[in-house]
Amino acid sequence: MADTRSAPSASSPAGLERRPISGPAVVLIEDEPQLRRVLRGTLSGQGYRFFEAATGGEGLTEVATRQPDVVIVDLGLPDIDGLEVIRRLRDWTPVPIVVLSARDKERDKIEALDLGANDYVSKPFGVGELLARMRSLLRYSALSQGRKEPVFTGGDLRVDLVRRQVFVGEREVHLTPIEYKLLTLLVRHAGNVLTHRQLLKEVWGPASEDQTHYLWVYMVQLRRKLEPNPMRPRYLRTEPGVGYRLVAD
Amino acid sequence: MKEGSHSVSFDLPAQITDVHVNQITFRVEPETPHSLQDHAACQHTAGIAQEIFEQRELSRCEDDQLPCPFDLARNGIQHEIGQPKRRFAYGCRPPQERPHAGAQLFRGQGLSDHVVSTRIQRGDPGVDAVMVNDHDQRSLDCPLAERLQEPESVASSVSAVEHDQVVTRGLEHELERRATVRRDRHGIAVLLKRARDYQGRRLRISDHQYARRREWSLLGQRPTTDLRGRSRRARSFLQPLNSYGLHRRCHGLSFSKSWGDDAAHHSPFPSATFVNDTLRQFHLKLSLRATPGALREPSQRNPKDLNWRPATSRQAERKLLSSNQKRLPRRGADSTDALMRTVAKHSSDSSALRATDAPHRAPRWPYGQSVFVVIVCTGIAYVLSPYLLPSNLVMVYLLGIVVVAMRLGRGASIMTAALSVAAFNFLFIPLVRTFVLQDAEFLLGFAVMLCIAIIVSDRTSRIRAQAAVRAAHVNQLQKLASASLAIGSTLSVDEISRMLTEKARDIVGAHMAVTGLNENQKHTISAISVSERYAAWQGFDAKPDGFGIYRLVYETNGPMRLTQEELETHSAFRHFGRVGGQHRPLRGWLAAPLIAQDGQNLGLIQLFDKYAGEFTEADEAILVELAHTASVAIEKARLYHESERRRRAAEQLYALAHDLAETRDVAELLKTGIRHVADVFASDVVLYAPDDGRLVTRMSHPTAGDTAGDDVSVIRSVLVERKVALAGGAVYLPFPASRGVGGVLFVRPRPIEDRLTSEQIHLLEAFVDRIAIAVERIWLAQGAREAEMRVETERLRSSILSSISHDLRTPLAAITSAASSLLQGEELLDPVTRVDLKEAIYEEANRLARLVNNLLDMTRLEAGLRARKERQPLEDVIGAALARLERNLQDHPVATHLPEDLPLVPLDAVLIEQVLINLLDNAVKYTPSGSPIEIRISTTASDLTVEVSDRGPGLPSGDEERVFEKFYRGNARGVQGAGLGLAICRGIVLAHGGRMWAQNRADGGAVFRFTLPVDSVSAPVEAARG
Repeated sequence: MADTRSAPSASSPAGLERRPISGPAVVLIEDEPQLRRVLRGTLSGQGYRFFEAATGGEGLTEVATRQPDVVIVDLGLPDIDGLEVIRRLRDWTPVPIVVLSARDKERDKIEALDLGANDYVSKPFGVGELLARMRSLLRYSALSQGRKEPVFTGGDLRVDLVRRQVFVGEREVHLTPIEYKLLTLLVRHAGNVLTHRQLLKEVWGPASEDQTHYLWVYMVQLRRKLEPNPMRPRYLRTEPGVGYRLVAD
Repeated sequence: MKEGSHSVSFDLPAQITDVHVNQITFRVEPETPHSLQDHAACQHTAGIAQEIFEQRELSRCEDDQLPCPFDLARNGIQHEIGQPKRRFAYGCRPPQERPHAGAQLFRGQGLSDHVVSTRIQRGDPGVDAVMVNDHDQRSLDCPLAERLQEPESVASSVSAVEHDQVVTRGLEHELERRATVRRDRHGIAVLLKRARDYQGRRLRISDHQYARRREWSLLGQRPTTDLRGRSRRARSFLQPLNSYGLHRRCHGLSFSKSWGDDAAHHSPFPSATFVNDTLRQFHLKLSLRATPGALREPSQRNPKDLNWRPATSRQAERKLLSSNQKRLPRRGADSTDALMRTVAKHSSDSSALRATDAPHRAPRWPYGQSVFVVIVCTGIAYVLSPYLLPSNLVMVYLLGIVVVAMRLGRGASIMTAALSVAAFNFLFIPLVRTFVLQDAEFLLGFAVMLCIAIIVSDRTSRIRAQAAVRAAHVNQLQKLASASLAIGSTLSVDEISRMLTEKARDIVGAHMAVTGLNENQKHTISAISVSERYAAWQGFDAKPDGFGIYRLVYETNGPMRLTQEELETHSAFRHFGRVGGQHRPLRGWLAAPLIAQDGQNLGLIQLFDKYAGEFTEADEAILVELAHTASVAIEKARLYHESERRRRAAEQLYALAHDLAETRDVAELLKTGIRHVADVFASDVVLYAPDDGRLVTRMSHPTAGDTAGDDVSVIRSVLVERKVALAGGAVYLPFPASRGVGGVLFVRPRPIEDRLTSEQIHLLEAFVDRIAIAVERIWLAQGAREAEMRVETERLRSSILSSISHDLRTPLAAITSAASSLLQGEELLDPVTRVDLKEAIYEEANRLARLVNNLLDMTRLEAGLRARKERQPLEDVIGAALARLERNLQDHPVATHLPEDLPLVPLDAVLIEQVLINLLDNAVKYTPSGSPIEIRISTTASDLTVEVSDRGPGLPSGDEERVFEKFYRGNARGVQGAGLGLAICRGIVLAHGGRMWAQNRADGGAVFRFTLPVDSVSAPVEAARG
């Protein structure tokens, strides 16, 4: 079990935490054997119950059989298109889906997210990134199942969802209603990407799905208010061409 | 059968002909130059005629039973030629069912039928009264001829040809009908016509004026006995009018002689023959010398012996008539006499026709002068009389006589002699003052004086005449010399022929001179010179059609000289066409050919109507000399023009080559070449090229010219066969097919009548070749350049490949080695090393990833990157880039300076992020650790400028532009990367419509700037506030 518990160094990947063995179940639908190998080792080492499939069809079967907590789908599958897999999965299950996408195919990424995938990772990727996003997804699904987390904390940012207060460090920040709405949306999906469309739809309504400039404007404002360095946002990260992500560390 | 160029002659079988008329000539003179068809038609008719004559029984035409062969011939021929105007005269009775066709007479020899403008007389169907000749025009002009038009006069007086007796009867009837035949012009005209018809005379006879001249010549003058007709037929021509009176008789004679009672067998030709023959015989008899019984066959007699004199006296006539009395019905002899007289009377005003003699100066008052001389001599004698004997005194008078004889001519000298004698006798001889002679010895003196007077005057006048002749001769030679000089000194063919014509007419002394030139068998009249008599014809413009007596000159290439009579009777003589009848009778014809060095005929000069007398041998020699000079001059002129033409052609080709050498572009070259062709050949030029099977006008000059008249089928055939074609006055040349320029060049001269000569076509081909060579050159140059570029590209590609492969392999090597050592001997390594190796693998993998990304980006850029621009805040993009490179930027503080109200800029977020990543990555790679990096944004109205600057070593000076080239790495030592980063950045910025450049900072470091255009409308930030 390769375990890369490393001494802290400036260039080390994000830290990996140990999980209990009976952890959440993950199904990996990936046709590339080497990648499967790596992820098998890594995810199992992290405590996930790991199931894999090499083709889309197999993957669908596996998901149906194993009832995982998270699914990782590669977009470039031999038999069925990854997007099709997502579509079929979304027909009957709300299980969180992470998409492994090629670097240049933003459109596929966006489409996958629009079809129902929850997050994406671009190949080549660092495993830590994938694990972080998976964790966020799991947390979100746990939250949506009823357990609520009234307060979100990430770094210096603290959002009290009950009292509707936002704190950066000790300072309370006043947000306009829309800003707040935007922020809470991001907070609820903390760690995962939200497409422009999703954000617009949720905050401004379905009629405003194309008004991306609203989004820009408000994100700029939020950043200015919340980020220590708006030029280098720590929390409110842009996923270029896709959407935004609240990075919760 | 013998064929001339325009006539077909064939011999009649011997049993039919008699002696003289042994040929029948068809002469067809169509309006248009004669064609093979005409020739065939001639032949066809001649063949039929021959058949007819041979068989004889076909000579008669029955209405119903047998279709007249001549009719068939006529129809057939007409059908062949297709021009209804043409009629062949043939002798038969046309079928009665065609009453309107009139009659056509099969013309015998000697008749020329300018049959085109026929005026077939209305007549009986069974009639062959024909005037098928446009000379009828002339005869119509004269009052006589008017009557001839009247159909009834003709019809009534003419009857079927088979029954000549009927004709005779008709004629008699006619004559009897006219009571006043002596005065009746009409009768004469009829007779003229009849005679003409039946004798087969040339219609010129019908020309009243001419006939009158003939009459005059019969009655008044001795005709020239210099008969040089080309055939014996000529002689028969010399007996026109006189025989008219005998006409009837001849006619009757012929019938009784040859046909007997079988009047059905008749062909006009034999009758014409016999008539001719008979006439001749009679004619001979008319000669005062010939006795009726001593008649020999004319063929055996030397024509020059013929002392032919017209019977001017009634006595002669009577004689003639009486000699044939037993043969001839003595009917109407009186009427004949009367006829003759009338005719003679009609010709009384023939003086107008007399040619003007060359004037000679007559001395004035010769007799008065002689009287004066006598008086002077008398005076002198009187003075000297005391000192001299009378026998010596008479010498004074002798002197006077001699002087007068030398100056004043014979008459005056004789008178002087007589007066001198009388004066001497009267004044000085004893018994002075009387005319009585005492001494008879003075008679001798007187006789001697008379003789001297006569002899001296005679001699003197002869000497004078000779001197005059010699002087004229010398004058002529001088004129000839100066004419030769003048002709030889000019280079224009027109000028030469004009000078030749005028000078020939001047030197030889004729009323009319015509020069025609012969170029490639095309005859044209090139100059005409006329005296005042013919001044009306100065501008005459006829196109000689090659038929006429002058044709003989062409054929023999030798001079010809004919008197008027010979000319008239010549077989080849055609009159001057429609115009001819209006001529007055002419005096002679002289023609000389213009011959080139190699014997080829260049043309000819003809002189007509000498001033005085007929053309002599001296005249012929002069004309030949002039013609020779002119020929030499013409040849020289032609050679000169030829060489000029060649020189000009060479110049034009050179000009074309010169212009073509300066063009580099194929289209430009074609345009220049075609323009040259159009200019040099004064034509419309079009270049056709095949384009997917259709013909397309690739280029033309003038560009807007209409291409009507070019024949698509010809173009296609030329395309296939690659041979020059001529059609419709235009030339189609294959344009050499060299790499897609193949096509057809169409050249049509402007105006289209100026067809290109064969030399011009050769020159045209040379032009086309030259253009094709130039096109080939350009294509080859282009090909060479392309080949060079391909080689260069290959070289570049291989160098790039080697560079990239190195860059790819290096990280791979590190990864492989690190991973393999971890795999194989991890437990041997200490933890630090282990971590080191793992980090190395991670970093190298990242580096490899970036390189691969760069390469992929480059590929996308090359393939044509399209930026998906959406309005986005630039801060996002910058933030994302910074986030992405967070690890790398750990050692480099990044400062960002953005304006407050940064507008939303249309950009492709991913691509611009890549630009920033590349720039930041470069900054990290090329600057020392810890040096700061700045990002600055500034805006203008039209665009937004992003600046990324560092404090590193900066760019190599002079390479600020080169850094953006692909695979450029500057003086990178130990720096990884393929050198594509900046190239990709610039590509992306360009795809956005911006610019990118790099500079060295004044205080160290480099700065990279790029602009992005800002659209005019940018959504205001406030509007979206919710």
